[in-house]
Amino acid sequence: MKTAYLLIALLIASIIQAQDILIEAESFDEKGGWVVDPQFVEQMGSSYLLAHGLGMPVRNAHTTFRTNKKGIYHIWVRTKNWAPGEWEAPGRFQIQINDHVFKEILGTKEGWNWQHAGELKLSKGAHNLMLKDLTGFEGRCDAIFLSLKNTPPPSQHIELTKWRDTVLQLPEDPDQEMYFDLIVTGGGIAGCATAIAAAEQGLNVALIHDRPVLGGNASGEIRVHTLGIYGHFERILRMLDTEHYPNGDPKAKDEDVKRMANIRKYDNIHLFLNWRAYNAFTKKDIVQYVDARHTSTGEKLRFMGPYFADCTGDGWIGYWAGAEYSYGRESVNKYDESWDQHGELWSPEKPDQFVMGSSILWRSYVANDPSVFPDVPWALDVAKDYAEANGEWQWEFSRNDKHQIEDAEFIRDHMLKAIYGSFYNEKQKPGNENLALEWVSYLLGKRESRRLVGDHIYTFNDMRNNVKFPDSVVVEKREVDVHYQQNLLDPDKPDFLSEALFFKVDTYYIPYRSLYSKNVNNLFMAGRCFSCSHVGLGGPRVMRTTGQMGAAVGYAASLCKKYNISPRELYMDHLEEYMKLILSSNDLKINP
Amino acid sequence: MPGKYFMFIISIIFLSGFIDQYSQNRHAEEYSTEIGVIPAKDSAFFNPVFLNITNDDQYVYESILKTPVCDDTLCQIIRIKIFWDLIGDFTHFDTLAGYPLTKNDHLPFTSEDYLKLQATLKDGNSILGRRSESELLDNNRNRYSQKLDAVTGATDLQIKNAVVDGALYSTYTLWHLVNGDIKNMLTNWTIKNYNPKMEQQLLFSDNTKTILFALKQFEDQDYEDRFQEVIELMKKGYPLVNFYIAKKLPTGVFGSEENIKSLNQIWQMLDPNTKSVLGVYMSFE
Repeated sequence: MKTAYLLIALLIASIIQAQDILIEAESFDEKGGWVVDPQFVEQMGSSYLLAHGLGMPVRNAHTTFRTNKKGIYHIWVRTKNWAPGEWEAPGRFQIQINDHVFKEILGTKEGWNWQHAGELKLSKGAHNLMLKDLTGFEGRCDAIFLSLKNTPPPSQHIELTKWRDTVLQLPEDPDQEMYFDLIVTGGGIAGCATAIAAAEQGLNVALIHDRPVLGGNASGEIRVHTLGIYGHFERILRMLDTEHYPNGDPKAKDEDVKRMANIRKYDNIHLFLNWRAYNAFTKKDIVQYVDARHTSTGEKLRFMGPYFADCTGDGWIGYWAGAEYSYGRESVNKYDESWDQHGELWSPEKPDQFVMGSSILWRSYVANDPSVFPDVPWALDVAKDYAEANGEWQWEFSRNDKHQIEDAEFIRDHMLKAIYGSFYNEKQKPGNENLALEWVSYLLGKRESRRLVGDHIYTFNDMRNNVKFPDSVVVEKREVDVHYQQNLLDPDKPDFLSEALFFKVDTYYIPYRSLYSKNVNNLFMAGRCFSCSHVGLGGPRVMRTTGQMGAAVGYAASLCKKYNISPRELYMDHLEEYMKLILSSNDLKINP
Repeated sequence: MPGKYFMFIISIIFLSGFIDQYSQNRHAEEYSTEIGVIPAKDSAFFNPVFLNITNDDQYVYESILKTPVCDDTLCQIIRIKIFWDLIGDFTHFDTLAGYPLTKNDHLPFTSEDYLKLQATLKDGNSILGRRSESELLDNNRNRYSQKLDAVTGATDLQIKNAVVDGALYSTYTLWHLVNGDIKNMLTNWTIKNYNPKMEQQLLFSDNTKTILFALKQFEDQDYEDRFQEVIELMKKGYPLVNFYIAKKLPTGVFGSEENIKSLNQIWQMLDPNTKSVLGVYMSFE
């Protein structure tokens, strides 16, 4: 491995010249109508700018850069044709430097790669750079590289990452370290509840989130309403949850305002918005720190502390820290989770890589005037002849060969094709001349991916048998609700629609032991990455329930800090005090 | 149980019991095998269930179902003939001469109502399965008609969409009877009396669930010994069936060049999930 890194370093050194310039698109001074998309950093290497214009070209993005030497520069743009085929690429754009518009149409090559935009003579000094979207259909630009040499930068992930840091002169490790009592990664409902509960008990908390707004799936960016009950934590969860409006409703943005205002009331919650964690380091089964990078500037920070909470949904902190985790559907026999009525759809005889899928919510409206929606031939392979004007939770994609994390960009793009194609079909119907897209999320609303393993793995039987635990910290009544793709039963159905199977249950309880890692000794988890089986996730995966998990974790962290003990030791030695704290949550008089 | 309802049940048992006993017994003689009974709502009646063979030589479970349907104020008796397949899934119903189904107390079902009832009873995943009777009405909009089933605008929207309009309690009661405990009874009977004729009927049906039921009776060796039969099944293109088969195929199957050739021949017609499992064993030129 060392040899490989050395070779990469030598390769990079041979490529890079002092006068080379790398401009990260996400760090543009003015992003215009382009949006920063940080969802797929772990797979393709960086946040990028996305022209998400619903078929209307978005406003230009601008920035400036300086050259140290005059000369003829070769310009390379890292981009991707996200829907290759026998049609024009959907996400086309051009770049302009000063007054020169490059003729090369970008976003037209399959897969992430450096596309040669052209050459330009540049004097020494400052220059203007502009991204000009041509379609409004998800053109994407990761970075622009200018070099006096006609050699493209590396394309492979590891090489590219190393090269990037070198060119940008970024330190390998963050040069700034910060210390907190509890580091919460992920600002969804679970993460926010964790932060509040811990902060109320006096902990100094870092809340790291990779978006500009809090709420995760409940945020105005994804717009899923919160379901479930409040359990023991109504006071806290009312600060964070949503009304029961239809999924996709713009009222979700009002809830963002409420949520942010409530979090900001706590002086000891240190909010790091637009910071995405990229590493966690563990020594002797103890997480030492989490590193995060700003999604626009690329700056790095190191977060150190005695306790960490993984509220990322995808279980990233646990994954990097070496925590045990599971993914996919277990064999029905592993935890005895059968439900004969739905057999293989519910829990399979043989394990597989299916999980509940990810959704993209969307809406249209009837405008005052007729409008034209462009042809979308690149979408019709997916949408086929399906026609629809709005999308609810059933717009969901999962496939055995597509990993919800590793293939997330494919899944997001697949859903976008489904939406644009179905809307196009709907728009062709007589009477729909005034129908127009109002909003389409570009962020995946995920249901399931990695599930970290705790001391207790929560299963279907805990729910259907209404098992009460000595450490029951979460309580729920919602049906167990597991999804499957409709085309599994009917191949004529589109592959982007799901159906839900509901198992009616009475009150059920989740133990605290499902909320900390089995093998990483200072790691909590709350949210969909808690310790459970695939079917075990079916009930508690909704956001008031995950919020309950968060509050329980926040309180646990406060007592762990008080006694300087591990999460497991809290269960073993201080359970009575912990449960008293849980049960008193609603009565606590807190003035943040 | 409300007193009025209790008295009603007692009365109808007294008044109609002997006649119905005679009617069911007479009926039984026309069938091949009586396999058990399906209790009506609140066990007001016990309706015999039979295994029969249809004119096109298919096994079918059937019963003439008689059950009271009640709300808080009024009860009526409905009679209907119900059919289930070998795995206990409802397939269809027939009305009985002289006993049309009614809604809003007295209006006969329209053709659309019968189609709606058929669709609802066939939906084993219906929301009716997750609601108790007391949860059928939206308490915020609790506007009762005084007559049975004539609950207009008072039901939860999801429930309203799931039932025959004007026949809330009839739909609900029938759904639970035909999709309730009877399913286990029928499935268990099939397993206990499983035979090659049943297997072939299930295996080559046009229903994913029944095909899977038959496959789940296979031993691992059956997949090797009957591989060409399995290939024929896969050609029918049921995604969940093929995905199940792909995961179940023992590795020994892939040791045969002939088997690999068979899989290659149907490769293009397989779905991505199935291919994702089989792909590791395949080599493509």
